[in-house]
Amino acid sequence: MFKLPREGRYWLLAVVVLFAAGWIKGINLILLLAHLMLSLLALNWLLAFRQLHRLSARRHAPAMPMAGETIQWEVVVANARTRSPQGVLVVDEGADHREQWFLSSIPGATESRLIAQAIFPRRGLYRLEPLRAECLHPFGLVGRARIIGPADEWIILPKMGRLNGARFRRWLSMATRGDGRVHRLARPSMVRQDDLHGLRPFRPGDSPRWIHWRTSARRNQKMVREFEEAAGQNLIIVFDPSCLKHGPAGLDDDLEEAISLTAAICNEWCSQRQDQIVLAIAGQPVQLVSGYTCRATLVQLLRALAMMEGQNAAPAASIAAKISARLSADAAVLVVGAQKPVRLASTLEAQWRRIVVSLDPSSARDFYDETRAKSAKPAARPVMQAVGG
Amino acid sequence: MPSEKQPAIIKTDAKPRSRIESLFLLSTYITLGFACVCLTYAEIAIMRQIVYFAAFAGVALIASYLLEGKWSLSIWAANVVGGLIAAFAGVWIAFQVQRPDGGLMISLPFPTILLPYLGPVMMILLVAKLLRPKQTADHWGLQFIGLVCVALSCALADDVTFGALLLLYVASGLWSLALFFLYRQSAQRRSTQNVLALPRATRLAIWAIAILIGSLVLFFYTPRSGTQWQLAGANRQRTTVGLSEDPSIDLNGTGAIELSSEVVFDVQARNRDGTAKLDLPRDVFWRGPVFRYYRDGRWQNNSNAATPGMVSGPSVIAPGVANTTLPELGADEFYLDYTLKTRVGITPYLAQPIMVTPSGDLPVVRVGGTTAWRRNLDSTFSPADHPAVGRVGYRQVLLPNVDDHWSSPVNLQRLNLLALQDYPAALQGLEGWTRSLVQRLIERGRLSSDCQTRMGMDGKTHPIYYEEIARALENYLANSGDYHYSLMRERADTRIDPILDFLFNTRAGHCNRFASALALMLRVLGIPSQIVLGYRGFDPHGDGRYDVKQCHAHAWVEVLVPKVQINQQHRLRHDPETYHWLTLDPTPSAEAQAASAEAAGRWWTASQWDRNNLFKSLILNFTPANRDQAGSQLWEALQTIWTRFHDQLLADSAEGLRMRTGLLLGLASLLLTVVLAVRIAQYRFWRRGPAWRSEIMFHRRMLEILARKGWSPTSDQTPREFTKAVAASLNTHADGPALGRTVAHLAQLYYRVRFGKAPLCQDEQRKVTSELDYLAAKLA
Repeated sequence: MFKLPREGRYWLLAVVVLFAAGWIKGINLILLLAHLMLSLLALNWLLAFRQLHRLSARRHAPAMPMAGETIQWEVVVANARTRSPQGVLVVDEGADHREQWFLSSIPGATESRLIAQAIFPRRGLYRLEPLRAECLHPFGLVGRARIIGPADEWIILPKMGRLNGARFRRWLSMATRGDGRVHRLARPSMVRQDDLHGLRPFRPGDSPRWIHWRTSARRNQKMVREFEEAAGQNLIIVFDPSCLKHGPAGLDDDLEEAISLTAAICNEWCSQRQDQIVLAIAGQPVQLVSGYTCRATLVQLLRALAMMEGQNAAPAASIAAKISARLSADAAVLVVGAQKPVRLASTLEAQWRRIVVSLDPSSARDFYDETRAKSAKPAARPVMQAVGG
Repeated sequence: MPSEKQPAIIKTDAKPRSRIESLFLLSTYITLGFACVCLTYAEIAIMRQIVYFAAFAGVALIASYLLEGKWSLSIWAANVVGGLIAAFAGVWIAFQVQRPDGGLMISLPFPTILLPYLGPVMMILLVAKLLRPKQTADHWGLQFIGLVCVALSCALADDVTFGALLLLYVASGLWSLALFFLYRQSAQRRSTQNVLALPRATRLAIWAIAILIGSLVLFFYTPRSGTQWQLAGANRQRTTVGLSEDPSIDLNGTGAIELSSEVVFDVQARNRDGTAKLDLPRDVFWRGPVFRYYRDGRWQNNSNAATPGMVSGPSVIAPGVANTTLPELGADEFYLDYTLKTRVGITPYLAQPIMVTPSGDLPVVRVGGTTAWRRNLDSTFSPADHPAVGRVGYRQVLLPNVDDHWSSPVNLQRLNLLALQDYPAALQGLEGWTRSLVQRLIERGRLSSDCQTRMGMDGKTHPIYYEEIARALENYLANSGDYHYSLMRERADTRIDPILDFLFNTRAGHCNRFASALALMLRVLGIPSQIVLGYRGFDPHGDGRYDVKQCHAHAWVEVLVPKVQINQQHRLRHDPETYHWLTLDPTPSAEAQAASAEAAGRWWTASQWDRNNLFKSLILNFTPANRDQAGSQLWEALQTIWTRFHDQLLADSAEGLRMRTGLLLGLASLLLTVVLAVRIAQYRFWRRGPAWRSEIMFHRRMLEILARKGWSPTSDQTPREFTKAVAASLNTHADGPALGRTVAHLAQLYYRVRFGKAPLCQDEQRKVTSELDYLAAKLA
C-alpha cells in the first residue's frame, strides 16, 4: 500500500514546479535538480518497500479488559528475514485508541515485544483494526504501509464501582431475612470443602482445587469434587435491562450504573470461592449465566453484562420459569435495575414464594461507591524487547 | 499590550542535545550554507554585491547554529528584524533599478532581470527565518528557501564548478533529510526507550550515487520543449575560447578566459595523387566570419548593422551554377576535406589563401551535393545549405608555397569603403594618439617619412602607404613589448571604450583586443580594415588528418590595400582598381603560444577543459542531439579501444605475449580476490552466527572453567547429562553441593536460552556472571 505523507506531497509539488519551470524555459540545471529530487523520492519508496517483507505481528489479548481502566497488552512483531528492517512504524489502532512504535531496526530472525496501553471508555464489543506497519525509511517522504497482523475483537468488560463487601453482605442478609435481623452468612472453609457430595467431570469455571487427582488419573479425565451447597452463600441476580432514558451517547446512564453495580456485586461474590452464582439478564430472551464463584465464572458474568443492551424486560413468568431449574432454596435473590425494579421483584416473590430483594444504584449508597477510587494510573511507556528465534 | 509582550531575546534552558539533534542541526546549517555558496557562485559574475549578502548570510548561519537552543528572538522581535532587513532589501533593489549607469537593467531583459535580484532577497529571507524560534515546520521552511536559492542559481550558473557545488548541496541535503526523518521520530516519541540508529556514511554514499545515476538517466531521456535557456546579455566573467554558433566580438567583458579543447572540425589533407599531405603549414589561417561594424565595444556582422553607407546582405559574384568540380590550380595542388564536428555558425571555415581563379571559379566544392557556393560581399564563401555535422562537408583546393596573407583581387566597386573606415565618435581620442605613434615610428625609422608628407589635409592616408603603415602598426603591437598577451581580461577604466582602455591603460589582452585595436587604429588613419574571426593552427594526427579545436580560435585584421609597385623612376605606384585583402596578425604570437603552452601544461586546467566541456555539452546545453552524438562517440571510442586491445592481444610479438601474460595474471588475481572476499564474508557470517549464539556465551565460559579442572563433555553427553556428571564429581569438593547447584542452574538457563528462545534479562545476566565468577574462584 502506497503511502505519501504531507511532507511527500509538498516535495512532489516542488518537483512538479521545478520540472515545469525547467522544461518550459529550457533550463537544464533546474530540470536536473527536479530529476534529482524525483529520484530521491523513488529511492525512498524503493527502500521503504523492501523493509516490510516477511514482517508479521500479533496481539496478546489482556485477560480482563475493563472499561475506564488502563489496559496493557503485548504486541509481538516477528521478523522472519535474516536482514534487519529499518525505521518501521508499527501501528495498533481502534475506535478509541491509537498506539504506534517507531522501531529503528528489528534484528533479523527475532521478535520484538511491544507494550500497548489504552483506556477504553465503554463496555461491549471493541474492534481493533488489523496491525499495520508503515515505513518511510530513510527520508520520510514516501513509503509503504502493510497489514502485518490480524484484526481482533475484544469484549470490554463493564467498569466496576467500589463495593464494600461486608456492608453489602450485611444489607443482603437483612433484606433476605425480612425481619430486620442479621443472618450471618456462612464463610467458606476447608472443612466444608471436604463435605463431598460426589464427583463430576470438570467444567470451565471450576476451581483447580476441586480436582480430584486420584480419580482423574484413574479415569484419564479431570474430575472435580461436588460439595453440599451451603445456605446463604449462593446468590441469584436478576438484572432488569429496561432503559427509560438515553444519555448523550445513546446510552442510559442509569442502566450503565446498574450494570457497574451488578458487575461489582459479581466481582465481590466471585472473590469468595465455592459459592454458586446465577446471573439472569431478564431481556428477550432471558440470558442465564451460572457457575461456581471463581475468576473464570466472573469473566463469563462480566462478558454477559458487557454485551447486554438496553431493552424491555421479559415477562416475569418466563424469567421465573427460566431460573427455577437453578433455584436453590436458600440462595438470596437480588433483582437489580436502573430504576428500582420493585414490580419485577414482587412478581418473582409471588411466583417463588420467597423474599426477592430489589436494588438500584441510588439505593446502594451505603455499600457502593460508583466513582471508582482506582484512578487510571499512567502505565510505563511501551517498551521493546527482542527475543531470539 | 506592552506588558504582555515577551522580551525581545529569550534565553532558553540549555538542554543537552541528543546526538541525532546535534547532527541534524549541523547538517541543516551545512546544507543551507551550500545553498548560499551555490547562489553566490552562480550570481557573482552578474552581480558582485551578492558577496556582501552571502557574507551576511554566512555570519547569520554560524551565529544561529551556535546559539541554537540557547538564545532566540521572540516572534515579534524576529518579525521586526525581518521587516527591517526586508526594508533594507527594498531600498537596495530600488537603488539598483534607479542607479545612474543602469546596472543590470540595461543588459538583461525583463523578466530575466528579476532573477539576479531574487538572489539577495532569498538570502535575506533566509536570515530573517533563521532569527525566528524554530519548530519542525520551520526547518522545512528553511530548507525550502535553500532549495529556491539553488533553483535560482541553476538558472544563472554556467560552468562545471557549479555542478560540483550542486552535487555537494545534494549530498548534504540527503544527509540532512535522513537525519531530519530520525529527528522528527525522536521528537514525536521522546520518551521511547528505542534507540535510533544513525545512517552510516557508506549507506549515504550509495544512496547518493543511486540518486545521481537515476536522475541522469531521467534527465537524458526526458523529451525537451525545444527552447534553450540563455541569460541574454549577461556580462559573464568566465569565457571560453572558441566560436559559438552565433559569433560576435564583445570587448566589454572581463575575467579569465578558459581554453576549450573541443574539436570544431577536422581536415583531411591529400595531395593530387591521393597521398596524405603531412606538411600543412603550422600557422595556417582558417578564415571565418568577418566584422566591420564597431560600436560600444562590440563588433557586429554587417548584415545585422544598420548604419548609413553600409551594404547589408551577401551578394553572389560567383556564377549561380552548381560547381561540382574544383578548378585546376596546378600540378602541385592539394585538397582539404572538411568534416564539421560541431555547428559553429553559417560561415564555413576555409584555409587561406582562398584562391579564386581569374575566371571567378571558387576553390571550394560541396561534397556529396550539387549546391552552388557563392562569394559574399564580405569576401567570405558560403554554400546555400549548410553541411551536416559529422560528415565530410566540403573540399577546398589550394596551392602550396603561396603567401597566405594576400587574398585574390577585390572588386572595389562592390565595396563600401566608408563602412570599412568607420569608427565611433567615442574613439576621437584615438586619432591623435595614433598619429603621434606614427610620428614616433617615423622617428625610429620604422616608417618612411613620406607617409606623413603624403597624408591629405583630411587626415586620410594615401593608399600607397596603407600596407606600410598597417604593417608598422602590426609590428608595433606585436613586437614592441609595450603590449602583452594575456588570457585575463581586465579593465582599468570602464567609462571609456574598451579599446582605448586597452591601448592606454591595461596594455594586455587576448587576440580580440589586439586585432580590434589595430583595425581601429587603421580606421582613424583612413585605412579600410575589418576583423576576421577564425582559427589559426591545428593538432595533427600524423596521417594527413588535422584537428582544429576551439582553443585555436583567433582574430586578426584584414586591410584593404593596393598592390604597390615601384616604377622606373623609383616611385611607388599602384593600380587604383586592383585591391587585395592583406592579412595582419597583431597578437604577440610568441607570448600567445607560451600562454597556451603554460595553460596546457597545467594538468588540472587541462582536465578542467574536459570536465567543463562535458558538463556544458551534456548538462548545461544538453539536447537530444548532443546525447545521441555523445553516445555514438562513446560507442566509437569503445570500439576503438576494443579493436586496439584485440589487435595487441593477438599480436605475434613480444608485446602481445606480455599483454597475454598480464591479462592472465590479472584475471587470476581477480578470481583470487573474489574467492577471498566470498570466504571472508562467509567467515564473518559464521562468526556472527544466529542471534542466540551471543546469548549462550555464559555456557561456553562455564565449559572453559570446568575444562580447566579436566571436565569436558563427551560426544554422547547432552549438556544436562554433563552437568549431572560434574555435580556428582563435585561431591568430594568442600563446596560441592553449592557448586553442583550452580552448574545445574547454568545448564538450565542454557536450555532456556538455546531452545526456549527466552533470552536472559539484565538481572539474570548479572546473576549468571556472578555465578560464573563464583565457580571460577572455587575451582581455581
